[in-house]
Amino acid sequence: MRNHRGVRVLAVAAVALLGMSHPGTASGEDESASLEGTVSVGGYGASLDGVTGRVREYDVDREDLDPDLKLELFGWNDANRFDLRTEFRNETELDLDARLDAGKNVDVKFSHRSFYHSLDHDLLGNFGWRERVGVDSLGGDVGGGKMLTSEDTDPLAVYGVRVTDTKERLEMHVPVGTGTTFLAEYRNLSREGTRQVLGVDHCANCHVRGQTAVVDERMQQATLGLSTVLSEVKVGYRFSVRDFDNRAEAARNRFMQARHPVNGASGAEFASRLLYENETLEVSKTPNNLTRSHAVEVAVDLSGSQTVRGSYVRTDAENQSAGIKMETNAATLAWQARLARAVRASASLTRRELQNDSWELDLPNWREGRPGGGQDFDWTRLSAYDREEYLGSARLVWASRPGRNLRLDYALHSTDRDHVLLDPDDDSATRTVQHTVRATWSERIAKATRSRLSAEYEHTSLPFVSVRGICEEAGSDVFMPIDGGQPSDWIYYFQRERIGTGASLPTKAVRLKGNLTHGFGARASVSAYANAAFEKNDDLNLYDFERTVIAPGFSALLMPSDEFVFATGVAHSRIKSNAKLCVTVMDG
Amino acid sequence: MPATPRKRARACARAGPRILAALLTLLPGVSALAYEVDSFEARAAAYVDDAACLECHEEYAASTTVHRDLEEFETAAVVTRGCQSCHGPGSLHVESNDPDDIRNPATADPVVANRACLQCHRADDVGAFEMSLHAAADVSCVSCHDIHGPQRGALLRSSQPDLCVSCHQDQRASMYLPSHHPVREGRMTCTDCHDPHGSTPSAASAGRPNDLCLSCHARHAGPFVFEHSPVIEDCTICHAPHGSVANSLLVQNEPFLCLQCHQAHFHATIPGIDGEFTSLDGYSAVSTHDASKRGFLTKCTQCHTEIHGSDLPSQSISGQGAALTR
Repeated sequence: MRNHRGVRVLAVAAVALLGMSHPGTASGEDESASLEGTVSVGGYGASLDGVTGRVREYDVDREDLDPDLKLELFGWNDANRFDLRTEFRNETELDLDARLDAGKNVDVKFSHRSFYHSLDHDLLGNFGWRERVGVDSLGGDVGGGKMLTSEDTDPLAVYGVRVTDTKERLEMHVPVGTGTTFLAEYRNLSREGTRQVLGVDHCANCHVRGQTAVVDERMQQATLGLSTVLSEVKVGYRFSVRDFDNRAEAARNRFMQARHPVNGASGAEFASRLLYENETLEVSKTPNNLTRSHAVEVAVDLSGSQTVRGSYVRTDAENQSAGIKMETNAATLAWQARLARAVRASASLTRRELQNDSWELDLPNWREGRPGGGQDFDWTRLSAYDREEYLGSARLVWASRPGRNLRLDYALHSTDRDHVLLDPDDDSATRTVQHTVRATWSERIAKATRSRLSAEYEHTSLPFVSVRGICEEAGSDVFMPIDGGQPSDWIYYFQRERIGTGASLPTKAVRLKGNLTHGFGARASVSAYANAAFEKNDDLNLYDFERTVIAPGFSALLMPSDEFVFATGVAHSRIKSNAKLCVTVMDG
Repeated sequence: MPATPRKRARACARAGPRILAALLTLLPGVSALAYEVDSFEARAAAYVDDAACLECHEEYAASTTVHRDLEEFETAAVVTRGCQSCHGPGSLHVESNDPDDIRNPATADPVVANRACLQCHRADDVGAFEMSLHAAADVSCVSCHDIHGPQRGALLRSSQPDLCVSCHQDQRASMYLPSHHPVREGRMTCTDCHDPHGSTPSAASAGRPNDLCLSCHARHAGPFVFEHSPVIEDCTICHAPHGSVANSLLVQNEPFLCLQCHQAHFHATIPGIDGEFTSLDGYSAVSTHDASKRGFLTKCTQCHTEIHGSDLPSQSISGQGAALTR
């Protein structure tokens, strides 16, 4: 983390030095210096009944009346300016934004936000099941082997984290040449509090246990950049490092001893199906990770309002706990120009390649040493990240007169994944190709009325799906019943193979949007809009996935003064989608 | 479980410089396509002292705008300083007082208006604005920024999110759904995620997929030993970032979200007894005939807790440790 501290020290030192070099800012020696500000004193409170967690997701869960104090200051003289805005509500909620434009060379920004984020607490009330294996002579239930139980070890706990986000940005305009800028940024985002961790084990019976865990996470990001303008060419470079540090001790869950859930026998048989049992282990452990990124960007201004930009980015990400490393390389080329008085065009193409480490898993054999057992379940996890992508776009804008604008967009997204199956019948079908065309019409119908309509059609071949994710087929058994020789060794393990492809992404989509706004002077307006989408995937082997979205809305705005804004609106959203749900068969 | 790093060829690393080289080769050809935008510079107007402007436009004499007093190195030496850096040479207008004799970015063609700003701000992060969706929709710099305003914030005409949702009304509605990012609470701004100055793939967005989300939600960055492929593919397969009815910004509630891609749990169809029971480990519960449905078809993430990925194996050997329960 020395890099991060270095950036922070640099930013703080720059501010301090500039403060010394421009004493007039604070002392008011300069006759042209001015200072103006606003202090607002108010209160904030809420009263809610029932389950308030979702309603107050970003409020401290209490009903006290908190103060709401705001201070805004703005000062300037010939050479310097500063801007300060702060809002204090309670010990958890504080906002502060400050900016110092010191002299001609330095622009410093600082922002700090902290707020409370309420987290869910699941009381696990839906668990409680014992298998019925038959009916006795009196018609009563006969309980069998499988059971489902749960416990919440801290039922009165209130979970939440305090999120603190601090950003510093130092921009130095180097008075050498033209347009040369040095940039340093630092960000510290932390989450501190408690959360619920659920642990599940199925040794003797399925048991879900909820417990309280500490959250103590910190993400730091530092960026250094340098850019300059050489005639019509802008060249820039940025290096960024992002470090996620999970400082909380991982929660631990007690995994029960493996045995028959009814009579407690057959411990070895049940243990032979599990990776671990009868021990306490860490659960829900978030690993530390580190991301480094280098970006080079070149922009060239050509004659006649024409620009070409190119960039290259290399990103290295690492799971520091497991040692998994991933590399991303991306290059972009983009162009825009005005082709005629009323016609503009732009196009871009990005190529991106990701390579992530694979991971070999050396597992115990299934039912090792047991009759009919010994199957090898070792495997190599090949990453779903591994891929080559092309993202292309082309845009043509025709502005026939002021206020009228027709825009035609085309987008291409091609993704060739190395290890994700997209077609159950063709292992070589790994490339998703998506074409999107969109037409948008903007029109100022009258002096105070403007409208916009857009229609989009999207076609995707081999979209991302879940191959063999749903629905079993008779006769495709993975394991057959195994005769162990003795009644106590008989193993019934019968699970059919899934054969269906599930999806939530369409192959064909039509999306329509429209809105109409009428202004009443500069301080009042009414608007209406409607969005609709009709999406379908008819390339699946068991069903057609469909999704329909209808979302109209209306809003009104009245702004009698800059300080008083009245806004109201009504929005309706209806989303309907389907899925294939098959009755499952399993006996084990 | 030792790692096996793959040392595949870094073809893409070499492709970047090649593409840039191709770009430089193409420049002379495509430059012939361009259309000259601004005719003001071609007129016989000359630059005058700013005092001539303030004689009539006295309301700007006491303006505290930062745009009044720029140094030459700040303007990339492409414009003069003062009023005419944006409005163009003013001698004709001074003589005639005719508004048509000077460039007015507020009423001009958006391309012309934007060029006036970008001649200096080309070197800033906003340099790609002409390629943005906003620019294509004829939203110019002055649509959102008050250029003559004092140097406060980013010279925005109003604060976020009010400024943004004045056009993007459907997003304002989404912010009021039960699950939402804390934008309307003032704990986030639209520009924490969106770059209003450029949506063409930029240096930042062309990096790792989902990097925008991971820049705050870094705990999900991994890369993990056990993956969940839609997490890698696109966060928005499961999450609606502007707001949703379901918790955690999910596009729909569990288990229906999960069941679009996955089989229902195989225990869910097994009938239960009707009554109380106690397990060997001493846990008591009450079962009903359809209790397995309630247990296994309510919320998948009660057991599959590490849905974003994990380094810790799940318990079952036959599941190969990949069930994301630990």
